[in-house]
Order: sequence, then C-alpha cells, then structure tokens
Amino acid sequence: MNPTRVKFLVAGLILAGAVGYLGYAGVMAGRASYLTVDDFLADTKLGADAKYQYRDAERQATRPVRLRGKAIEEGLVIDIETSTATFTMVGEKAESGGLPVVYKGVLPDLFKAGVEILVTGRMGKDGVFEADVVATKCPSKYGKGPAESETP
Amino acid sequence: MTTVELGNYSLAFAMLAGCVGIFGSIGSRRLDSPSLLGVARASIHWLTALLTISCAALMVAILRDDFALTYVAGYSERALPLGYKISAFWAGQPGSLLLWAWMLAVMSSIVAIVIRKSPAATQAPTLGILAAACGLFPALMLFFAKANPFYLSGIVPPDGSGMVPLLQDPAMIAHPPLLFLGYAGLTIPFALAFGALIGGRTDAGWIPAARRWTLAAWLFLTAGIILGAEWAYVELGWGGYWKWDAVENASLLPWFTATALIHSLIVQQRRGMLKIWNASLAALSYFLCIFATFVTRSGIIASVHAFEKGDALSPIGWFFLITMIVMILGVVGVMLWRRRLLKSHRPLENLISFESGVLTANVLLTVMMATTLIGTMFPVLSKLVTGESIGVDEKFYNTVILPMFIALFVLMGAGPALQFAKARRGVGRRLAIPGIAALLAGAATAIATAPAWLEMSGMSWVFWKTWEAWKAWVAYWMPCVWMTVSVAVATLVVVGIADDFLRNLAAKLGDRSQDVVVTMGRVLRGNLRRYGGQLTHLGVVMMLLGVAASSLFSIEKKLALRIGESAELGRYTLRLESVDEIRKDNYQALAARVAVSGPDGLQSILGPEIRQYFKFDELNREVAIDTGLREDVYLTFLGAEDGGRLVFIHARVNPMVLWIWIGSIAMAVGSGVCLFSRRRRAAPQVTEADGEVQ
Repeated sequence: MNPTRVKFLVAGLILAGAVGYLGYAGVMAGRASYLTVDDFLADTKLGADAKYQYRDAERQATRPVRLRGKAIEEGLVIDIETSTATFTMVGEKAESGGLPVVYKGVLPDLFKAGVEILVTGRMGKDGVFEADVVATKCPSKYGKGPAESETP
Repeated sequence: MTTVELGNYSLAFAMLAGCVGIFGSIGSRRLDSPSLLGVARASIHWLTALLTISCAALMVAILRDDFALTYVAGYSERALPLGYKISAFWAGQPGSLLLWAWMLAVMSSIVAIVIRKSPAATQAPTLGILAAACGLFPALMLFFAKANPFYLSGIVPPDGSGMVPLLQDPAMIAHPPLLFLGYAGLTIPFALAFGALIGGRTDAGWIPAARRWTLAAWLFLTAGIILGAEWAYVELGWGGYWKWDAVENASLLPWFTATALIHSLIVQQRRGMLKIWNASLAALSYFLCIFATFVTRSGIIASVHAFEKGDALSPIGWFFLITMIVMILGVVGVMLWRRRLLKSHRPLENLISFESGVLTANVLLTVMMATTLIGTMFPVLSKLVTGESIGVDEKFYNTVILPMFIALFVLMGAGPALQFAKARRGVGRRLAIPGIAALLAGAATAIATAPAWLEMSGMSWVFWKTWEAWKAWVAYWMPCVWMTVSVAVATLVVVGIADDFLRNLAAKLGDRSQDVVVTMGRVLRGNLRRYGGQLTHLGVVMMLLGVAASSLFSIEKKLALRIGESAELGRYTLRLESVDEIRKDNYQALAARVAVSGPDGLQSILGPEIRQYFKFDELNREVAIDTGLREDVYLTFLGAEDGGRLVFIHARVNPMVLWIWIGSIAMAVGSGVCLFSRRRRAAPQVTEADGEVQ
C-alpha cells in the first residue's frame, strides 16, 4: 500500500470512529420509545415486568416514551397562569382506560379533545405521565413544519 | 366532456406516452432506428402537453368551485381569496403530485430539445429514463384514488371545507412549488449521467449541462426548504424554525447529496476523477426525492405530518417501495455493467489538494444524509431489529450532524487555498492569515460569551469532583463552546474568501497604477463562477451565525400583564397598551398591543393575536415579531382571563434570526450567478502543472 492510501485509510478510520461515537451519543441523548397509549397502559399493568414503568427513586423511568392517542374532554384543565395543562389520554381500546397526563407548557393551537396527539415524556412516581412535549397533527396531510407545542 | 373526464383522459394518455417513450428508447437502440428515437423524443413532448391539460383541468375545477371533486372540496372554499385558491392546487397530496409531474415533464421537454442532436447511443437512454420518471406520476394517480386529484366521491357539498388557516400564508404558497422544482430538477442530472453511462460515453461532455441542472435544482430546493423554515418561524409560534421532523428531513436528504454533487462534478470535469461518486450522487439525489415522497405519503412513519397508523404500509407506500427497489437494482446493475467507464483517470495524489477536499466533503455530506435517513427511519428500523419502535428526537441530529457541519465549514475555509493535484508549499502560508483571524475571533467570542455563563452557573471548581457535576458544568459551557467554534470557522471562511480575492486583485494590479475599482470588477467578472460560489459560501456562513446565536442565546419569559403594566425581558421593557377585539370576514380575534422599549426608548408596537376562524374550531395564534439584525423580539399571545383584562404572553428574544434569511438570499444570488455565468473559455484539459481551481 502506498503512503497516500495509508493516510486516507487512517483519515477514514478516524472519521468512522468519530461518527460512530457521535451516533451512539446521539441515540442515547435523543431516544424515546414510540407506543400507542393502549400498549403503554397494557405494559404498565404488568407490574414488575413492565418496561416503561417507574422503577426507582433515582431514575423516574427506564427511558422516555412517545405516546400516540387522544385527549378526552373530561378532566381537561388548562391553567394559563402557570401554563400547566392536565388531561386524560386514551387509546383506541375502551378497556385500556385512561392515562392522566400533566404538561408544563403551552398546548399547541390545534390541541383539543378528540384530536390525535403525540405526547413525549416519562411516567411519574404518582402514576401521572409527565409530558415534555405535546404535539398535534400538522394541519394538512401535506404541509411542512411541525405544529409542535412550546416546551417550557 | 367535463373537466374531470378531460383530466383523467389526459392522465391516461400521458401514462401511455410514458410507455411509448420507454419502448421507443429501448427499440431505437436495439434496432438502431433514428425514427424510433424521434418517437421517444416526441413522447416526452406529448407527456408535457397532456399533463398541461390535466393541470389546466384541475385549475379550472378549483377556480369554478367544482366541489364534486373531493380534492377541491377538501382544500378550497368559495370565500377563499384568489391567491390561496390557486395555491389550493398544491395544498394536498394529489395536486402536489400532479404539479411535480408537470414540472418534470416541462424540464424533460427542454432536455429533449437540447440533446436532440447528441449521439443516439446516449440520447436514447436519457429519453427513456425521463419518460419513465414522468410516466410514473400519471400511473400513480390513475391506480390510486387517493392520489388522483380528479377523484369523485359522488357527494357534492355546498361549500368546500377550506384551507387550514396555518397554511394561509404567502410563504406556504411558494414553498411546495419550489420544493417540487427542486425534486423534478434533480431527475435531470440523473438522466444525463446514466444516459451517458448506458450509452458508453467516455468524455465529460455531459457534465456542464448536468452541473447546471443540479445547480438550478439545488437553488430551488434550498429556497423551498428555507421558506418552509421561515413559515414555521412566523406562523407556528414556537419560536423556532427547524425541528428535524420527518418531513423536514425528507427534503433535506436530497439536498445533502445534491450539494455534494455540485462540488464533485467540478472534479470530474477538470480531473476525470470521482466518477463513481458522481454517478452515485446523481442517482441518490433522484432516489431520495422519491424516498422523500414515500416517507411523507406512505404513512410508514408516524410523525407530526404523516399521522397515519405508523406501522401499516398503505397501497401507495407499496407502490413507492417497489419503484424504489426496481430503481436501486437498475442503478446498481448499470454501474456494475459499465464499471470500466467509472474508473478514475488518475489516482488521488495528495491529501492536501482540491480533489481530496471535495472527496472529504462528499464523505461528510453523505454521512450527514445517512444520519438523517437513519434518524428518520429509526422507529421503523428499531422495530425490525428489536421488535420495539424507538425514535430519536432533535438531540440525536444535533449531536451527530452539527459537528460534521463544523467540519464542512473548515473545508469551506480551506477551499480557496487548495489547488488541484498537489500540495504546494503555499497552502500553509495561504491559510495563515485566515487561520490566525479565526483563532483571534474565536478567542474574542469565548471571552465575550463566557462570563455570563460563569455567573449563571454559579459553580465553583470544587464541584468537578462528581461525574454529574462535571456533566452539568460541561452543559453550562456548551453554548460558549459552540458559539466560539462557530465564529472561528465563520471567520476562517470569510477571511479566506477575502484573502483569496485580494491576492487575485493584487496579481491583476501588478505594479502598474490602475484604477482599483475597475480592476476589482474585472477580477470578479473574470471568474464569475468562482466568486458566485464564494458568495454562496458567505451566505451559508451568515446562516451558521444566525442558527448558532438564535439556538444558543435566545431568552424567553412567560408574562402575565394587565393593561398599563410592564415587564422586563433582556434589555427590553414590554408594556401592555391595550387589548382589542377585532372582527374580520373569516375570523374574529383578540389582539394585544405591546409597546417594546429598548435602551434607546420606544422601539416598536407589536400586536400578537389569537384568532378564531369561523370555519375552524381551533384557535390560531398569530405571532408578532420585531425583527432586526441584532435580535428579534417575538411575542405569542397565549390567552386572556378576567374578561380580557389579564393577558398572558410568551415573549422571546431570538438573536440574529434575520441573518438566516439574509444568508439564504446571499446563497440564492451566489448560486444564481454560478448558474448564469458562462465560462470564458472552453475547459482546458488540466495538466499536472496547472493547479489553480477555476
């Protein structure tokens, strides 16, 4: 192998290593499990086997989750002054029941009961899901830019 | 014949024309028949004519409020202003596909005219690829009712459901057509490159045209992406412009590869190198446009946009999936078959040369594309591997992609000093001034941004002892570090460009006393392409500074104000003057009047609103922005209590956002200059001695 090739090989390996490390760090920093509310509620009922349930006092949950479901009218309270919203999220199956959610922040404009939403956060100790991000569906099937909520 | 029949029949005949084009192209090669080649060429023009008729039919239906068409009923309404009615054409999936198809057909016709005299061996495959690419769209629209703009549900509502208020924005009128111009334009370099490859062409004659098309497509794609970001900033009210959402990412994927292709084609033209890269990048750019549509249309990923089930593939999804598999197999097959044509004329001689700089940029941009692709597909990929769907948010992209962007800026800064073929001794010397300037600017930035953070963190050195404290300390210093690095690389690029220009100017001036301004003009005109490219780079640098400052140093506060009360935000005082009820034709609103005073007294009066459109239940918050070179004051009206007397406002100060938009204009002008400038002389075959990059 000629010296130029060796140099390129070394440069390539360094780049690959750097990208690999960044990729790992990025996934660890930004990952969340995507679930429906139904699956999440079914999982939390499993008790000790539950994957996403609150585990110990130090770490609130094993990892953040992003839930897809709908908010219901009943129990929807929006306090503008403290910008806190509490609501109950349900899935498609009636037997799953509801998941109480608390969100410190301003709900997106398109948020209302019955509209599909994506809620990212962790399960709190008290059984209330603490949301970091609440997103509603973008206004049109076509159209760019997320109608994301404001994060506090 | 009704407009619907007209539209559908012309779609059907357009599909037929596409098939005729494909068979004409194959037949002309098999039978060596010039007349079949003429048929292939004519079929492209027929496609254009027929798709024009389809578009006209849809436009007439929209303007006539023909709500029998599900599409028109879904995206328009009688009361919609004319401008938005026209934009309803591309507000939904079927119409946007039709627009894309039409733009592609028009471009294909232009190509067919331009290449009509080129050898049949390369002309035929190019025409065949174009016919197939165009014909794909009418086929899609005819086979799937969901993609057909002329679909009739049988129900004729008295009025359409109207356009969502969020989309009623000038940026949203222009954003989709610009993106589709970009997507359609990226088909052309692919068709030209693979036409040349299949035709067995060994010279570089197709490259200037391919480069020009790539540049034009890139310009449109960039403009489209930035307009989308601008729309998100002024319309959505969360204070940002980019969120790494699946749909945003989809438009960014071909942008990465097209950016690489523009630079990489120069190397092939001048040095006969990087041929495999260019063929792959051209194919990838086209492929990723189709993929972008696949992601947004198929419902394979549950994002804010594609909200479908997120696990099941829709029939349209299958159609795209099969198309993409066929394309990949075809592209890989052709490249293997013609692998001898893709051999590089010469090996890469030195690590410090223009070629290896471009090669490194190619690698970086491709890795960035792959990262974005993997991140976007993460929920799907992780489900395949682990059975559990795991997604990644913007932290992933920021962690992985931002360092690579910084590396690209370093390359950009080194660019003007690099030369073809060999590492001259001069490179180090030429980089000395920009390098020192970068270090000084970086140090100044570090000093300017550090104290504030030191104060805020309130941490002493003792806390270093624990890992958690160490991490918190690093997090506190992150904004300072990122800003320092950004300013340093920005300075490297700017000073590098200025240094390069002054050197060329000095060389032209010589020791004779000439008029400096006239000579400056001569230097610029003498190599418009070079300076057009550098203006584009300056635009990117402005964008970097805007993005860095606004994402690292924005401040925000939630305010609760009664009329007459004031609040402090950064160096501003915000005073609520009044709250008014407004009634317009299609909405009513609550509007706050907020006086913004800076250190120099009253600066502006902002009026954020909460609107209630009569056709829609949801509230619509209209942000108010006082924009400036230093920073934007950005107000979102959250709500009111106590009969409108107590008002809640989310106030933000976003530094240097305007730089992003100005930078994007510089990018557009710069790449426009490259696009329209002609080379002074025919490209000379570069010899070993001739190193200067043109």
